[in-house]
Amino acid sequence: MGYPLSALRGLKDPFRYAPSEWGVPPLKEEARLRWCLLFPDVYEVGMSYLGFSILYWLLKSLPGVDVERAYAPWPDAEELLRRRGWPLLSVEGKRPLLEFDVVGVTLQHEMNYTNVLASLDLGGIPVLSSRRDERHPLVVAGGPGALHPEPMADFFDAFLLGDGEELLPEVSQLLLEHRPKGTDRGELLGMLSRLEGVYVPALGRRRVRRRVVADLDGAFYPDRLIVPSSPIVHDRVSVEVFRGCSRGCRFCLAGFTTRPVRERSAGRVVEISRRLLSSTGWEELGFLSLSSCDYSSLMEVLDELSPSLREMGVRVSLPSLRVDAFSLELARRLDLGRKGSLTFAPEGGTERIRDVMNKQVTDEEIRRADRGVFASGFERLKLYFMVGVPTETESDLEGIVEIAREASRAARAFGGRRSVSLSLATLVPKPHTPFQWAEALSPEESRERLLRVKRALSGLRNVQVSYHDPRLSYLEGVLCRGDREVGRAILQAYRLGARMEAWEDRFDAGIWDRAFELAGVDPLAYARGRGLDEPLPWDFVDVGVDRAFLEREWRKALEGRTTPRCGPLSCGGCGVLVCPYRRSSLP
Amino acid sequence: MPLQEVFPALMVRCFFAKWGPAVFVRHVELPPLFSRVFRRAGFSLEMTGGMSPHPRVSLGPPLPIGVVGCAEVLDVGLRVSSLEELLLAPWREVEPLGISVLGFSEAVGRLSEAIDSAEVFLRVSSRGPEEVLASLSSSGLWRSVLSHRPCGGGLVLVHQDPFGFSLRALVDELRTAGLASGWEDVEMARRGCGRFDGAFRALLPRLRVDGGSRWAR
Repeated sequence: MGYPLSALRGLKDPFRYAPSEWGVPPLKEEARLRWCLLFPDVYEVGMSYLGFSILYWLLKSLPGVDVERAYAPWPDAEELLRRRGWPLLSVEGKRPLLEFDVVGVTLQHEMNYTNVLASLDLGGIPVLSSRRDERHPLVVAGGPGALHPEPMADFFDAFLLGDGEELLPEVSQLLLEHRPKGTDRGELLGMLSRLEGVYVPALGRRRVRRRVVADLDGAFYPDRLIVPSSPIVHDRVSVEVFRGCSRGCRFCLAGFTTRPVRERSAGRVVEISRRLLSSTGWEELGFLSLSSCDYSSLMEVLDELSPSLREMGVRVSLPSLRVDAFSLELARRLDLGRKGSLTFAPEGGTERIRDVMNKQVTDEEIRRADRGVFASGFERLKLYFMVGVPTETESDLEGIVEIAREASRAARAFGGRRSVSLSLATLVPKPHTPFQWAEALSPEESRERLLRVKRALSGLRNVQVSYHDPRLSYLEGVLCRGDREVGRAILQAYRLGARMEAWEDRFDAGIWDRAFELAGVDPLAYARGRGLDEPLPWDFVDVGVDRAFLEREWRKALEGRTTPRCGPLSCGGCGVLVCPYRRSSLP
Repeated sequence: MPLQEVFPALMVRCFFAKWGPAVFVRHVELPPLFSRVFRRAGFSLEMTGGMSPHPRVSLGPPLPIGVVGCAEVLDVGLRVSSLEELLLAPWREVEPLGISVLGFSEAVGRLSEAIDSAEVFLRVSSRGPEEVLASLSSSGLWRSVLSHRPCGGGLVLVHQDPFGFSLRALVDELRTAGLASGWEDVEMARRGCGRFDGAFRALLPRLRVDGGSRWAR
């Protein structure tokens, strides 16, 4: 039995708790191991994550294993559940989380950490791993947050590091063999910890290596998808064209923790796209990766698919376009102008600071792109920048202003309602990147810099400037580079009511100030810059990139020197195995 | 040869039920939902022209979130040779949970012209139909009510102008009268839309907004 529909009617977006969907596979009554995949954000966000979907269908395909989904409730629904004494239920079988054998949580964003705790509690599971016993499911985490696990270590029984296509079948097999026999929980965790890529915090730290799918073509990919009846954030068929990124932007967590670049072949991308479009009826196809324009078979795939896409009225979306002529040509060809806007992320205001980030985009390329966007009929150009990058000076901020002014002039020159939208954020120094040693800018200093840019552009009527709350960026920086002490603050923040804080209007800085105070944790200790000789809380996690390489990149960043993009003739020597561009000797 | 030339578009009137979790699907979300249903069933949709082409779909009267629709209606441009082709499609396999395709007819005229009234079932928890009737009949909304009768512990009302008449206002009225604290006390289902037959004082026939409708399997 699910929640009575009449009780949900007064909630904001009630479809989240009783979704109408097509394509939900039947429950496997014969299953001996039941997973619940919990997404710690609302339904429409969780349903948009391709990785979550891949793992769902992968688990569904395993003999003896079944899987259901659950999503974190919005605070109004949490209040309803608590008031009525109802547990958080899975979507498919309407089961409380407590009734599953394993609850798998994806850690995509630090500001969702308190949602994890709220969801576990609502599901009838103690939030602290140490309080769980044989009656409780194993609670495991994956996703990018699992690669710097210590802040969440007290809440999870195990972390699964790396590509789930490799790990989940092995973990499921082990649990299938031992859990039904009633194997002691501690023993089970011990066995899990011996699998490569599994970190069990209760058993102490040891070096754990991230698992990597070597051949993306051979890796599992679903041939069906669930189609929601209400809109979700990315409402389309998504096909991952490659994993990893060859660019090496020094702020990018994914760029360093998903190496090496592994492409899916054109034939396989075409086959998956056709199959999923015809089976789901979706009217949009998205090619997903960290930098879709870098997909070497992109034109081949588009040539192959275009006639049938036109016939079906299906449009193509390409997230993560680069600031270059190829992207613009591609946007024109895909008729992305129907959407009215095009987004580029120069990230830095001057070539110097972009070299610090290893972004490698010239001023001239940005100018050409600005003009090209409006000349191609797009009404709106969106530009993303960040402040707080190491070595940043006044002139880098002025550079952002100058780029925006030039874009504004280009918009005016083409007339009509053409406009520029500037989105500013503060750098969050992430673990496993060259910026892991950088200082996270204080919210005050960050706001001052953001406002300086915003004020300088206030006279331009065709430029809109928005910025990400600097307190949120700061907190993200503290949480992602934290240790277990920080976990105590997360627990306090959860108890004080922090929920859904990735949504800016839900963020309450006061709760976090109080949480750090109650936990006796000084956030400054985590926001500060780190010395190269200092041990870091995530040092024991081997994502495959050599620490020496990160150190070299950090030094080069401070000197404003770039590292060429990974390629057959330009290996930067990051140390990642199974990389087609890897060479044994370093320059 | 392009599909448009092989099959010129046929404007089809589709009748469907909206129940269970689909009651939370907003009215404006029905065009993409049905476009996907038709595509899954293997049909090609007629697209509008202009900068942002989209499937040609016209919606029937809006239904508030949470209200069951027993026989809702929308028009859609499909590239089919005849209605029979639609009847053979495996609808049960392509419908999302809570949406049931009931039947089709050829769309004659605009929906807004083909529909002038709707029939609604209304029941308020712990309140008899007489009490509800007494309260509503004294309100300004009652001017739009064409007929009424008791049914299953509630009331069946036929009201005019379903494109403009607000079912929410009905609930607000019950709230103001102290008969309900809000939607949680109200069960509501729209039984159908069509033209009011003055002689029968009823909406007849419910599914046939015009022309001969065909039932899906």
